[in-house]
Amino acid sequence: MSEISVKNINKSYQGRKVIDDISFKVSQGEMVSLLGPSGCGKTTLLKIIAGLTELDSGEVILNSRIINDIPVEKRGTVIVFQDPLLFPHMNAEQNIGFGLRMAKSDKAYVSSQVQKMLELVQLEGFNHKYPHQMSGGEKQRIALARALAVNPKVLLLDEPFSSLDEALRQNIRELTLRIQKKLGITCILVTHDHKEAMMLSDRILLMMDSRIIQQGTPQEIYKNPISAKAADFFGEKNYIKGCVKSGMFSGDFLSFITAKGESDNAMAMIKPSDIILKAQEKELGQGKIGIRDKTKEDSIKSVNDNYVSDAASDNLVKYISSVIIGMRFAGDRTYYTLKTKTDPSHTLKAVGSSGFDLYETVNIDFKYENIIIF
Amino acid sequence: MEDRYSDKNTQKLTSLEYNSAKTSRRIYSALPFLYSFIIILPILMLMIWSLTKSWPWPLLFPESFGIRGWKYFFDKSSSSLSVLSLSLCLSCCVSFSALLISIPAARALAFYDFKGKKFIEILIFAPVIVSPAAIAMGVHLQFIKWQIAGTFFAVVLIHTVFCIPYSIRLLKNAFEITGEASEIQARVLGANTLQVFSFITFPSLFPALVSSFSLTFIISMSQYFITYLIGGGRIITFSMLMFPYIQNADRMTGSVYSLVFIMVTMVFLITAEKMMNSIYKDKIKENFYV
Repeated sequence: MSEISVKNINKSYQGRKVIDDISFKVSQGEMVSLLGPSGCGKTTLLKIIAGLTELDSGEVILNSRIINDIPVEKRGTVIVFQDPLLFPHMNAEQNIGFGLRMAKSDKAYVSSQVQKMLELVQLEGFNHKYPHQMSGGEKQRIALARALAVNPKVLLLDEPFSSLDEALRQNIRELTLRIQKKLGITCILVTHDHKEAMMLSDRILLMMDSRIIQQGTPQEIYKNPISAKAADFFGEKNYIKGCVKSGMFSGDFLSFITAKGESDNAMAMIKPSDIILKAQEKELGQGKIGIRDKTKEDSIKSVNDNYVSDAASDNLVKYISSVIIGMRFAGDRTYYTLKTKTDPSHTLKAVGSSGFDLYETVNIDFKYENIIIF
Repeated sequence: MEDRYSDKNTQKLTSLEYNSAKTSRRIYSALPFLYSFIIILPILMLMIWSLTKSWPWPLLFPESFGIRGWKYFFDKSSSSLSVLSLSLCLSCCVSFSALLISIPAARALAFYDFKGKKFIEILIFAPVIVSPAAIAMGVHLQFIKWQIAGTFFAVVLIHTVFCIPYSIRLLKNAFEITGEASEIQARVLGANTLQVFSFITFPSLFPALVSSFSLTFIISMSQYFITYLIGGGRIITFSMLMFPYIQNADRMTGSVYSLVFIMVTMVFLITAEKMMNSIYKDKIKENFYV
């Protein structure tokens, strides 16, 4: 049973702070991701935990024991790097058994552990293959087996899937997660890929500018980002400036009810996937409207003359008329750039199916319940 | 019509380019043969001269043959074999000590940044940049003070000084190519410093170590002046024994000694390479120094 925590870790290189007062805890069997852009200090933090980099101040605590002064080889925290780093002069069997041989383990135990690990990473029969005889994915699986063979107290993964192609990456991600859950290993994954972090982690620590700016479950972080910067890390977003008064957000071309407190300088963040594109069905006056059933969440209020509705019917709600000015086809989805007719200076990013044409005028609606106001 | 003409022109140009590439390829392929010829011709001449009793000018072929040179070489009175053994022993000691010093030094220069690194690099390469005679003179005075001048140990030391720049340069490049990552991975897996060196650093540097050993061995074997100066005539090496015969125009004996010198170094290099191949054959195809 191993749990690891870091307390007030600080590290500077040539006067530049790379780790700024970071503290967190990883419980036994938990898979935690250190997610952040390149250069935010996540790999340095991982190296500090492994003992490869000295810290300026703070504590690394493994099972209630401060391990700052314990050398790398005695910590029991094993890293799997982006590059598999298999020893080229050793075959798979020798690579996997390396750590155990260094610990002078019994030969029979080494042999049985190697076999067990090969089965675990689904590479039975690879015992005598040398690294140059393996594919990238096989090498990475052997590297994982080699790390697991020594029964690490904490497994540290430093972007181990990033050098693999997409299909292989997905495959090895799932295998890693399965093994981690099966063995109940405490694991810290460093990645800059938010999808990878969300798919694999029990908890995400979002790192930016040398600090952890937010932590929580993947759902919490994705749905309630702490800032626009945190939100942007999970993909492109739309921002609409406005103010919140009397429980109503009023923006450039959009108004809706919100529970957010009063603010003169508010910003509504809309994910592209929360913009719904609809083909125009009828034209009335100077604006264009679509028709749909009014639901409970619909809280749109007309604040602009360009919203035209059929007042005769209570089942009609208003949409914003927009023109598609950009399209990027991406297979199962299409990314659209839209210009609203009410405010042509404003462009919106949306994602949807590929049923629309460039320069087509469409009606857009929003999933209001998902809009976040900062 | 114009199009057809332009097609023909393009074809012509392509054919010209092809021929030019073919010619360059032929020239490049011929270069190794030319180089081999430059090396082989003097050896061939040495072989003939080592068996030639007299070859007066302007005869195209030797007038008479003999084995006086070889007989003398193997004669006990010439002490050739004992001097050769001493030389081999001395050069092996030099190569080993150069390696022992060069491995940590090259590693530090390849991986660490420290104050005065550039200056230390220049200092290490000084024996190659500055005149060997000047350095040997300075060292000799110091050796006299320490009362080690004229000893086997002193000769090993001075040869090592001249071999170190070469071995450090070679090993530094090897360290830079192999990198530190594998060593770090080994440490993370629980290997201590000694285990990392024996199981990771040494095997991955082995080809460079063999090259470095061979290079320093040949450099040490070839030293004449500094051996003479520091050894004070008491330590006689093979090159010192060979020199008077060449100088006194005893071409037959001189050729025999030269041939033995070449053969010994060749045998040494081939053995080293064979040993390396037998250890690493089929094991390494990538991510490795060779």
